[in-house]
Amino acid sequence: MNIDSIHTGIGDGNEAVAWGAIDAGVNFVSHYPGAPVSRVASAFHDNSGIVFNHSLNEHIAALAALGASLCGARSLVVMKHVGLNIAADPLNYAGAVKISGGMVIVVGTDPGARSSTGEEDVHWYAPQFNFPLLEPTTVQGVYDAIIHAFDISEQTQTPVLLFVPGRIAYQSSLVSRSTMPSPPKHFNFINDKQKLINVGIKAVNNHRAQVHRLTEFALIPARHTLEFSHSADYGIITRGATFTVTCEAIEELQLADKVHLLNIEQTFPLHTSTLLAFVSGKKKLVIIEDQDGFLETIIKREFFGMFSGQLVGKEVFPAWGEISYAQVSDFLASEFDCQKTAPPPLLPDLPVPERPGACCEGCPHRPTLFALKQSMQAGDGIIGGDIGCSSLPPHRTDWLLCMNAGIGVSQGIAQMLPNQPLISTGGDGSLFHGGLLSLQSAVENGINLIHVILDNRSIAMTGHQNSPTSSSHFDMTGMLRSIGVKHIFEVDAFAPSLTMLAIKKAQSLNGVKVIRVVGECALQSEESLSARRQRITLKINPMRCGDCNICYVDFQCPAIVKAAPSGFSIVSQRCRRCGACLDICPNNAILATRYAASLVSRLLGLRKNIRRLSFQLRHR
Amino acid sequence: MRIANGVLPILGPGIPAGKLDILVALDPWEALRHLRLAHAGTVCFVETEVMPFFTGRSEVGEREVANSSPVDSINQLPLQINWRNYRKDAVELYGTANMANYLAGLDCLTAMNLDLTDDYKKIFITTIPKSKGVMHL
Repeated sequence: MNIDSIHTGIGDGNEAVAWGAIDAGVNFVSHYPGAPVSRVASAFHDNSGIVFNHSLNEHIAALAALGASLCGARSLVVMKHVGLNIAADPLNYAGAVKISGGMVIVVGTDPGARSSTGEEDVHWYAPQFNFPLLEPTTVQGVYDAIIHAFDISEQTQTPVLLFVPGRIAYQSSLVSRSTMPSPPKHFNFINDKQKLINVGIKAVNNHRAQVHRLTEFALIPARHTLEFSHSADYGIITRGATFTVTCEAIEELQLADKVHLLNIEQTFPLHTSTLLAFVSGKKKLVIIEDQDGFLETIIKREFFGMFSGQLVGKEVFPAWGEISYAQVSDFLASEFDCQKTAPPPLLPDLPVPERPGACCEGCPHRPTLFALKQSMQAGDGIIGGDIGCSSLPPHRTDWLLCMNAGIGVSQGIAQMLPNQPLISTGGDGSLFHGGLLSLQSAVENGINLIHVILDNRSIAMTGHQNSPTSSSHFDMTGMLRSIGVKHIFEVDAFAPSLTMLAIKKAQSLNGVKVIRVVGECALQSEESLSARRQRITLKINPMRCGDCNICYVDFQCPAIVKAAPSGFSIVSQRCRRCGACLDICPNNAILATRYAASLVSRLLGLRKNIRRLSFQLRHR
Repeated sequence: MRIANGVLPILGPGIPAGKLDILVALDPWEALRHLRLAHAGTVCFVETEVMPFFTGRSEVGEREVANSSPVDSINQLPLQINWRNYRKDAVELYGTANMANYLAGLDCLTAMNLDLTDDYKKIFITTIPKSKGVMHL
């Protein structure tokens, strides 16, 4: 290996992925943002020469990378764990077509569901796809594993999976980088019908060849780490983040001479000889891993009858959440009957109130979801929820499941309960991820449904990646009309009274109705915020305030707080001057002051009525 | 933050209970929430101003908040607490409360007495994830 230069930087797991790919000479990157790996794409910064595909879903990202690798390019695909479900269709045959450039699929896994609607264990896709699977244990390990993954992908002519769990993706540490000079590449597509027309007997032959390639690859010694006492008869096997947690517990409990630890980085396919050598002479084997027990299952399958000692795993460590230091430490302390040496933690006795995430002040979703709740208050209305910022408290929709669940689940309910008021919701990111097809399907099926697009002009929750609506040239109305939506409303997100009017009007119409509620994400525009702050200040007039609680309890803007000794006030520092509170106050007690105070205040006071009037005229 | 004590290396990615060495908290309630990880020698940099609770305003949480003081509770603990109104200072210095985390981080790094001198700002800012736009100082 010809190393050009070595340097060190501080980086987290996301940056380690990008740096590893850059230093491995990646040519093509496709991704769909999703925590915990949503920042990988931005960590590439301005690396010219790398082609990016900011895909609208994971299925597209996987296919695009496959295309690039078929041309000989080194390609990287990045997605979160549930995204692998979306990408699964093409990945089921991507190993059969013998790529010529390395293809690495980085999957951000989420044991503990820190940033996901579930902690799905996607390990099982590795044997399903017949892809090698690498699970690094540290940030440096992620960097090294990415480079290694490209090599083995080209060696096996198969994509390689690389899992980065949340606690490594979000961890920062020093990363040593080795930049290797990459020779210029010439890309070309070879039209090989035997491997690319993957159907019938050709598909069977390709599948057989893929399995054989992987079987041969499994014979090559794989990356692993052996720690502590080689002569100990107590063996521990780890993978991923549980390796360092277990090492720390062993050190803390001073068990280094009593246990022997094997960490397996390549968890599929397993290297038989390494494992057989490790279990030799062991009386007890403990497998410590997050989630369902993938490694335990594979070991039991591959080594059935070869180990006569005791083997424990998921009967001791739970299949849910992250395996913690405390769980490992408690288990080992009990196994070896030893005392913990760590200082006792402080235990403050004051209970701390729960503080779940919430819509920001100035968030366009807050007034929209307020309007939806108000519109559905009378009766048994259902509000279909999607994922993203619109799922944040306090205005929860009726379900929070997965991308496109708003428009998708709502269709079935609308068909089964046609007389029950129902509104489905979804963001602009979800619309283009798959919601558009759902919407067209609703049109084709003649379903009577109102769908609200919460368009904040970016994919906000994962870090403001662009969505098609980020461009002012995007013609949403034209697009919706082209798929057959006849009734389209567009309203300002910060005028919830207008949203309510649009809902009322839509309820009187048949077929699919779309209400596009537009308002830029509150965290996007610091410059326009400063301008608004200089221009306007919002205040609550205690003389007019009727203590109705609507702004505080129902709307719950974080900038509105209880004032002493009574009533409410607006915290100027927090307020982002979106003006939605002006629209919701039934007593007109919220006033705009400062610059040209009287004029602005009067205009904003009139805005509600002007908008109502113009809306009624447009939709008469 | 955890700091290696020179005897045992830090290996795990999390902070187990009793192993927190430095805490930077931009809200006293959040400081209190994470003090279950602290030990008697933990050094804390804590914002004095309580952030409002945004949800559950008509429910139990608000009554709990109204009837108790996290500042008093923290002061009763055997910890080295450095109180500062970071949000207010950030607004005065930079025009935005968003820079409170920068000031708190700077206090923390200064207290650690690392030999970083002029690189303080560069190092801290590059570790703040920003997806779009850069805040120029």
